[in-house]
Amino acid sequence: MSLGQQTFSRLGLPRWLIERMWGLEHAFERARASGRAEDDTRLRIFFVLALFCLGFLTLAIGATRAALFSDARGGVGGAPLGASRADLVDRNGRLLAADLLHYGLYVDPREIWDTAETRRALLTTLPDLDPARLERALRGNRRIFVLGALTPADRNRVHALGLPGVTFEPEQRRVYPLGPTAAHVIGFADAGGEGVAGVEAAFNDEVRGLARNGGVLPLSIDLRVQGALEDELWKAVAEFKPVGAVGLVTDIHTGEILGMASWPVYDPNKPGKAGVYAQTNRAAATVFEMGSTFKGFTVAIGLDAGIATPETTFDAREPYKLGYRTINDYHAARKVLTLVEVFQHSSNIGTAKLGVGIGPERMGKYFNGLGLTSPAKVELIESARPLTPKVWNEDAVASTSFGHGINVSPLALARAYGAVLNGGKLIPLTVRKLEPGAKVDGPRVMSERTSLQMLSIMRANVAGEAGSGRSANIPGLAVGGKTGTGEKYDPAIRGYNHQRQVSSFAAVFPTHGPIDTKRYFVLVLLDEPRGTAASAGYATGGWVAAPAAGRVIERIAPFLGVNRRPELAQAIPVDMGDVEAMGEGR
Amino acid sequence: MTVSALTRPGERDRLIVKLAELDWVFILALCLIAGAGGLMLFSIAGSSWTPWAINHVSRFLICLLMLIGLAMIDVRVWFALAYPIYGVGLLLLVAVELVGDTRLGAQRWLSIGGFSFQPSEIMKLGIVLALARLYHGVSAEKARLSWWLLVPALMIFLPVLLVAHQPDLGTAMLILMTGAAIVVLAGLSWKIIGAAVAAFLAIVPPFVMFVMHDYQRQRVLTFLDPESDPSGSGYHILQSMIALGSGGLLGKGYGLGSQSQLNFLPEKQTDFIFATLAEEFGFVGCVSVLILYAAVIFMALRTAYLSHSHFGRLAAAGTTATFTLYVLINGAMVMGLAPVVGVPMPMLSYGGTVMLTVMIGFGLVQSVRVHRYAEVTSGKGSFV
Repeated sequence: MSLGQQTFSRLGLPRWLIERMWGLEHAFERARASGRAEDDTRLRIFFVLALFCLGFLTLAIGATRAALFSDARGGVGGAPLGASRADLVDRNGRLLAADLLHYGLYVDPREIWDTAETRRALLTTLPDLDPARLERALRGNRRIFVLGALTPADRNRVHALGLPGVTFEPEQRRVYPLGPTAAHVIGFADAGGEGVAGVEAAFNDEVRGLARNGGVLPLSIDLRVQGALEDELWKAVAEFKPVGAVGLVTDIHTGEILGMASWPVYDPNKPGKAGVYAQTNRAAATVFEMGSTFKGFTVAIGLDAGIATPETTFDAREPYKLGYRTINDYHAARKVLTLVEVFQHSSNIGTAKLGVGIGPERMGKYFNGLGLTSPAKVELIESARPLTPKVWNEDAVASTSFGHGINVSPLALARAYGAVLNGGKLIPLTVRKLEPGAKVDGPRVMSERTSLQMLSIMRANVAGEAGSGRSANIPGLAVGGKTGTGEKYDPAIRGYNHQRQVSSFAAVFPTHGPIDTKRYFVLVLLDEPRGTAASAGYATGGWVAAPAAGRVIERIAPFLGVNRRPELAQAIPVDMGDVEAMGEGR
Repeated sequence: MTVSALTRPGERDRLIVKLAELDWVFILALCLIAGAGGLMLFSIAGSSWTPWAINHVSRFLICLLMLIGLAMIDVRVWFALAYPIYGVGLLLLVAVELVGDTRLGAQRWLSIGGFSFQPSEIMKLGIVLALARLYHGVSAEKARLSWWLLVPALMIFLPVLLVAHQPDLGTAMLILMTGAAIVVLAGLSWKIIGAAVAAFLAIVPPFVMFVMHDYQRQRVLTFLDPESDPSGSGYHILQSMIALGSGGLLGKGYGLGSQSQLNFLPEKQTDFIFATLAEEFGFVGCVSVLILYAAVIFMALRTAYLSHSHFGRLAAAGTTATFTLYVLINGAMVMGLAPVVGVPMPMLSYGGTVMLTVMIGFGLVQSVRVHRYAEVTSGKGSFV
C-alpha cells in the first residue's frame, strides 16, 4: 500500500535508503522554492521524529544501565534485606518497637529432588505460604525468595523436614509487641527497613543512625495515658458507632503529645492486612470542619483584640442576616447574651457577630498566628494541610468564627488551643520526649491575660448548670472545655448534611492556678457518631464526646501528677473577679 | 479493491471503505500495549482480575470502539469544532478556578451532575485542534517570524497559566510542550527555536529555586540526588531503580516481582507500572514495550506526513507529540532520568482519564488518516 514498503521489498535496503535521502533533499529544495508552510511542516515532522528517536534512545540507554549494569539488585533473589532500626520506647522507657532476627525462605528448583513432596511439606508446615507463589517458584529455574518473616521456630520446623533446595537468609524484621496500641503514633516500617508511617517514617534516618550505636528513641507518649485514652475512645466508638474517631492528650506548655489514638486501628505488624482507611492517622492526616470548638478561638481573639470583654452583650434574639445568608442558633436562646453565655450556649449568632466585629483582616492574622492555616507543626509526615478560606472577607469570618468553612486536623486544633491556654505562645507539637523541665518557646500570639480569661470561661462551660460541657465535669480536677458539632459537607447534596456530624470535645485541666501550672489538653472527636437511647438520640459533642473526655481525664490525672482538690469538687459559679481586675488596668 | 476504485467520487465516503482505510497495524500495536498493561495489572494484584486488570481491559475496549467511531468523523467536522472545543476547555478552566473542588490540595476537579473531571484534560486536545486550525491557511512567512505569532503564543499560555495555577505543573508543562511542538512544526524560525531553548536552559534553575511550591522543588532536588532522602521523595526513584535492577536481562518471571508484589514500589499500578514490567520481564520486556510505543509514534507521525490538509497534518502531529511526551516523561521518571512528576505511562498505567484522552487523540489521528485526501478550505469565517 505504501510506496516505501513496496520499494523496500523489491529493490532492497541500499536502493531504498538512497531514494529516501534523495527525496528528503528534493523536499528541502521544494519547500524553499514554494514558500508554502505545508511542505516545510512535512520536513519538520522528520525533525520532530528525530528528536523523539533521541528520547527513545535515551530511554533505551537508561533501561540498559538500570537493568544490566546497576548494583541495585536488592539482595539475594531480589528480596531486600532489612536494615536495622533502633528500638522505640515510650517516655517511661517501655518498649514500643524493636528489631528481631527473622528468616526469609528461598527455594531453588534446580536442587529439589521431589517437587511434589517439597510442595506438600512446605504448605502444611507454613500456613502463610501462598500456594500460587510457591508453584511459580518451583517451576522457575533459579533460587528465589518465596516467604519472609519466618521466626526461628518456623525455620527449625522447616529444617526438620530436611528438604534439599530449601534455604534461608537472615533478615531483620520490625516487630511491634503491643500490636495496635499507639499504632498510629509509632507507624510502621516496611520489610526493607524503611519507615513508612508515623514515627518510623518521621525519624527514619535517626532511628537507623541510632541502631548503629545501640541507642533507643524515647517518644513523648505515655503508655498509661495512651492506654486509658484508647480504652475510653474505643468504648465511645462501640456506643456511638462513628466512621472514625480521634483522641489526643497534649502538654500545653511543652507541646509533647502524651497520647494519640485514631480509630479504626490496625496492627503495624501486619499493615497490609488493614486498608489505607485504617492506616490513616486521623489525628494528623484528616482535616475536619470542627464546628463549635472553634468558638474558643473566636472568643479568645475577641478578648485579646479588645473587641469584647466577658460582659459584652450580643443580641441573639433574631437570626443574623449577613449578605445572602442567615445564621441561626442550634438551640436558639432568643435573648441578649453576654460573651460568656455566647460561649456556653454555643451561639452561632453571637460568635458570628463577634467575628464580624473583629473584622476579616484581624481574624485572618490571628488564625495565621494560631497556626490554623498551615499544617500542624509536628514531626509526623502525615500532618495535613488545612483547607482555608480563599479570601478573608466577612462571609468567611462569620463561618470560621463557629468552625465552618475551614478544615483543620485535630493536631492543628490541639496546637492552637495550646497557644490560647498556655499563656499565648504558639509552640510546635512533638512526638519525642523532651528533657524534664525543658522550656519550649514560640512566637507570642495572645496575652497571658487572655489565656487566664479563656481558662475561666472554659471552666464555667463545664462547671456551670447551663454549660454545654457539664457532662465532662470531674469533681476536683477543675476541667474546662468546649463542645463542638460540625456538620459535614456532603458533595451528593451539595450542602451541609445535618445527619452527618463531627462531634468533639476540647478540654483542658486543671484550669485553676497561675499561668505556668502544668496543664493538659484533651480532645475526643467522633466522626459521624449515631445517637443512642442513652444520649436521647443526640449525636452532638456534648452528648457523645464530652462524657468520654471526662472519663479519660479522670483516669489519666493520677499519671500526670494532677491531684484532686476537694475544694474544687463542687460545680462553682464563674468567678471572673481577679481576671476582671486585671482587665481594668487596660 | 483496486486503487482506482478509490478515486471514484464519493467512494471514500462509504463507511466500509473508511473502515478499511483505518491503520489496523496501528490499532494492533495499541491493543498489544494495553494488553501488556492488563497483564501487569493482573500480576500485581496477585493474579487477580480485580481490582485493576478487568477495569483496564474493559475501559480499553470501550475506548477502542470510540476511537473507531471518532475516526469515521470527517476531518472537516474536527476542523469546525476546533475553536469551540478550545473555547469550552478554556471556560471550564476558568470555572474550575472559581468553583472547582479542591482535592488533595489541588484545585483541578469540576463536578457537573455528580460526575467530576479535570478540564485540563479537554485542553490537551483543545490546544492541538485550535492551533492546527489557526495555522491552517497561514502563509509560511507569517508562521516563520512575525508579530502574528503572538496569537498562538497567547492561545498556548492562557490555558498553561490557568492549569499551572491549580496547581498542576505536570499537565501545564505537557500543554506548553504540545503547543510548542505544533508551533515548531508549523514553521517557526529556527533562530527563535534556538533562542527559546537557550532561554529555557537559563530559566530553569531560578524557577526551581524561587517559583515552585516546596513539594515540587523537593521532587526536583531529590531527583538530582535520590540518596539524600531515601524515605521521602527519593523513595519512589530508589525503589523503582531496584525493581529495574533486580529484573536483569530476562526478569524474575511473571508474578514473581518482589518489589511490586511486596508493595515496596509505590504507585505500582499507575505511574510506576513500567518498573513492575521491567522487574518481571526484565530488559527484554521493557525494550519490547518501548519498541511498541516507538512504532505507534512512527505510524502516527507517518499519518501526519501523508495528510493533504495542513490542519490534519498539524493536528495529527500535535496529538502524537502529546502522547510521546507522556511516554518519554514517564519512562525517564521510572528510570531515574527525570524527577517524579506524576505522569502515567499511557495505555499501560491504570487510570481512565489518560486512557480516554489518549484514545480520543488517536481517534483524531485515524480520522486524519481516513480523510487524508479531504480538501479542507481555509475556513475563514465559516463553521463547517
